[in-house]
Amino acid sequence: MPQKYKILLVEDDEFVSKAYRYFLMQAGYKVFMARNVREAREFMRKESPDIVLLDLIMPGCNGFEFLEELHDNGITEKIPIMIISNLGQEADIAECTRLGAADYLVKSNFFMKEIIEKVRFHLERKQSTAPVH
Amino acid sequence: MIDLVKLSIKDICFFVIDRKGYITNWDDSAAKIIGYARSDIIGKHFSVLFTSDDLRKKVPEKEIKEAFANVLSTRERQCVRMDSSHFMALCITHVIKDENGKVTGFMKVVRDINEQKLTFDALHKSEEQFRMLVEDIRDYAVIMLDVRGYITTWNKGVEYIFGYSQADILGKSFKMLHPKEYVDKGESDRELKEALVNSRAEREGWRLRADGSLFWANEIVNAVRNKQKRLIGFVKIIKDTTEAKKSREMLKKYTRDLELTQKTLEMENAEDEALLESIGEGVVATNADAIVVLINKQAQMMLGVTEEEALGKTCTDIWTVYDNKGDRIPSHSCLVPTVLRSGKRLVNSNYYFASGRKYFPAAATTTPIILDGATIGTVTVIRDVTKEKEIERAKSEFVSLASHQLRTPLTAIKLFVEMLMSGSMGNLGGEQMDVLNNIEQSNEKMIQLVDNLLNVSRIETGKMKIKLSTTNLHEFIKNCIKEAIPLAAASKGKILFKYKKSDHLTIETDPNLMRQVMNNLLMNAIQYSPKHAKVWVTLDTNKDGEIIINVTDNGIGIPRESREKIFERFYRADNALKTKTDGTGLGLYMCKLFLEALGGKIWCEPRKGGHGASFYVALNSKGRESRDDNKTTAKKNNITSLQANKYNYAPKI
Repeated sequence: MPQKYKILLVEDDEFVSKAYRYFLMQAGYKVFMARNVREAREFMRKESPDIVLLDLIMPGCNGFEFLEELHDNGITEKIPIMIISNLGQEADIAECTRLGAADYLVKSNFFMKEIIEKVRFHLERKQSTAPVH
Repeated sequence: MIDLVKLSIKDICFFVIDRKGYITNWDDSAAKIIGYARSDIIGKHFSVLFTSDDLRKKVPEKEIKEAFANVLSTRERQCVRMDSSHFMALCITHVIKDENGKVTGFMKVVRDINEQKLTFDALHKSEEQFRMLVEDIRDYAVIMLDVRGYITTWNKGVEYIFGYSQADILGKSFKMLHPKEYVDKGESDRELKEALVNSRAEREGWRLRADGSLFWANEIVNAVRNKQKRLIGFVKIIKDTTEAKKSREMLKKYTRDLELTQKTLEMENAEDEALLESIGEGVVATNADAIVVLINKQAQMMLGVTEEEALGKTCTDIWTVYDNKGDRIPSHSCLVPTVLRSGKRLVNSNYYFASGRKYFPAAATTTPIILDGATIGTVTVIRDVTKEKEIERAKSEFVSLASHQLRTPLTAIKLFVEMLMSGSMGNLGGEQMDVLNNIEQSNEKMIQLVDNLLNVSRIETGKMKIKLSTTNLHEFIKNCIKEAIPLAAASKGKILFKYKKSDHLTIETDPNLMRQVMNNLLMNAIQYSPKHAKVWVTLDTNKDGEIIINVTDNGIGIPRESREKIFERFYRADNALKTKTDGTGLGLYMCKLFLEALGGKIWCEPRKGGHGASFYVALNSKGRESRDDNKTTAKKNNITSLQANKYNYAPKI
C-alpha cells in the first residue's frame, strides 16, 4: 500500500460504523470515526481526511447541513464526500448532488466489497486530478 | 195628399216632382226634415237629395222609372239634407195623373227611419243575443215560473241539464227539480220567498234530474215584476256545476299538493343552502362575464371577503392566483376566464391569494355551466389544502424516515454476515456457511420488502419520478429473460420468447419501471409453477395499435375469484399462499401502479388450453406521452418532489 489514506466515517449507528470500520481497515485505510456532525467538525478542524463517508440522518445536525457547510467552504471541491445513507429518494439524491457530493450510496443495497470499490475509485480520481505538490 | 198632411207626423215629409224629377212642390214638413227652404229647392232636380254613391248608381233615374211602372213604389235609401248630413229614409213614390190618365208628376213621401232603424237593429241584435243566450245555450237551464212556482217557459238547457222534455215539465211545479228532502225541509219555498223579499236568491246544492240522479248546481232566482211592481213570476237560472265543483276540489287538492311540494322544495332549498354553507369547500359562482353571483360563507372566509364586497365584482379582482413558485398567474390565464373560453372543466392546485388578507395553498375546480350549448357561467370549488399539504409532507417524511430506520439495522446485519462470510474472522465450515447464506438471503428479502414498501408509498404519494427513454422492446424483454434464466434453471424450467422478427417495437417508456414489471411477472411465473416449468413470453400488437406483452405459465393458475384482487395491495390468492409462503403481496400491485403511471394496463386470464396463468401488459404504442392525464400527473409529480425537498428531519429515535 503506497499511501495510507485517511477516511472520515460520519455514521451514528454503532453497528454499521463498526462493520464499516472493520472492512475499511481490512482494505488498508486509516479510519476515523465521528458519531455526529459535531465530532466530524472537530476532526476536520484538526485534520484533513482524503475522503469522507457521510451518513445523512443523524441526531443533532444532519448530514445535509454538514454537506452544505462543506460545500459553502469549498471543501467538497477538494475532498470527495460519499453519501452513505439509507435515505434513497430522488429528491435526497438530487439535493446532495447539488451540494457537491461525489457519490450517493443507499447502504442496504450495497455489499461492503462494492463500497470499498467506490471508495478506491474516488480516491484514485482525486489523486489523478490533484495538483502536484 | 190631404190625408198625409193631416197625419202631421213629425218624421214624415212630402214634396212633388215633375216627370223628369224637378221639384215642383215643397211642403213645410220637407223643409223641416230635409232642411231646404221652399225658395231654395223649387225648380231643382230631386237628385240633390241623393248621396253621391246613389247618384253614381243612378238611383234617381231608377226611382223615376219604377214610379212610372207602378202606382206606388217604395225604396229605403239615404236622403241627403241641405247641410250634407243624411238619414235613412223610407221613400214612397206615388204617381200623379191628370184627368186623361197622363202622368204629370210624382208625389214623394219621405219618412225618416233613422231612429227607428237603429232601434230596430239594436233590438234585433239584443233579442237575438237573448234568444241565443236563453234558448240555445246548454250550460244554463232558464225557467220562467209563475207566481205560484209553476213552470211557464223553459229553454233547451233544461232538457240538456235535467233531461226533461217540454211536455214533461210545462205547468209543473219547480219543486220537481229539487231532491225530496230539500223540498220537505221547505228549502224550495224558502228560495222563492227570499227572491220575493230581496228580488234575488242564490243557492248551491244538489238538484234532481229526470232519471233520478243528482247533480251539483248553482241556482239564481229572480223575482219578475211588471211596471206596476206587481209580481208576475220568477226566472230561475240553473247551472250544472258538478264539473266545476270537481275542478274546484281538484284545484284544492292540487293547491294542497303544490303547497306541499313548495314546502318540500323550500326545505330542500334550505337544505341546499345549509349544505352550501356547511361544506368545507368554498363555492363561487360567476356569470358569463366572470362576475361573481354567488359566494358561500366558506369562500368568504377563505378569501377574506364579505358577500357584499364580492358580489358583482369580477372574480379575478377578488383573488389573485400564484403558482407553486410564487409567481403571479395573469388574470386571463386563471381558471374562470379559461373555463369561460373553453367551456371545459379545469382542475388546478395553485396557490390563492385573496384581497391581501389571506394566502393559502388551494386546490380549485372550475366547472362551466352550460345551457343550450353556451357557457352561461362557472362554479368554482376552492379547497384549502393547507392541512393536506402538511399531512402529505408528514407522510412523506414518515415514509422516508421509517424506511431509513428499517434499513439501518438490516444494513448492519448485511455487513456482519458479509464480514463472517469473507473469512477474515476465521474460516467457516460448509454448514456454518449455509446458515450464513440463509441469514443473508432472508436479510436481502427484508431489504427488498422495505424497498417495495417505499416504492409503493412513493407512487401513491406521486413522488415517483418517471424517466422516459426510447426502448427497444425486443432487446429489453430479452434482457429481462436473461436475468430470470438462473432462477428458472434452478427448477429446471424454460422461458420461451416468441415475437415477429419484422416488428421493431420501440417505445417511449421508463425501462427501470418496466424492468421491475417484467421481473415480477417472470419471477411469479417461475415461482408459482412446478419443476420443469414452462414460461411463454410473447410480444405483439393488437388491432387497437396497443403493444401487448404476454407472460403465460403452466403453474398453479389463479382462482377465478382472485383474478382482479391479485392486483390489490397485500392480496395473495389462497393457492399462492400454500405454494409460496413468503411472497409480499406487493409485486403485482406495484406492476399495476407502474403501468398506470406509464399509461398502460395489466390484467390476467387463465391459460388457454391448460392449467396456468396468463398475464397481459398493454402499452400504448406511442408511449405514455400520448396520454394527457398521465402527462399531467408526471408534471405534478416533478413539482411535488421539488416541494418536498425540505429537511426538517426529526432526530433519530
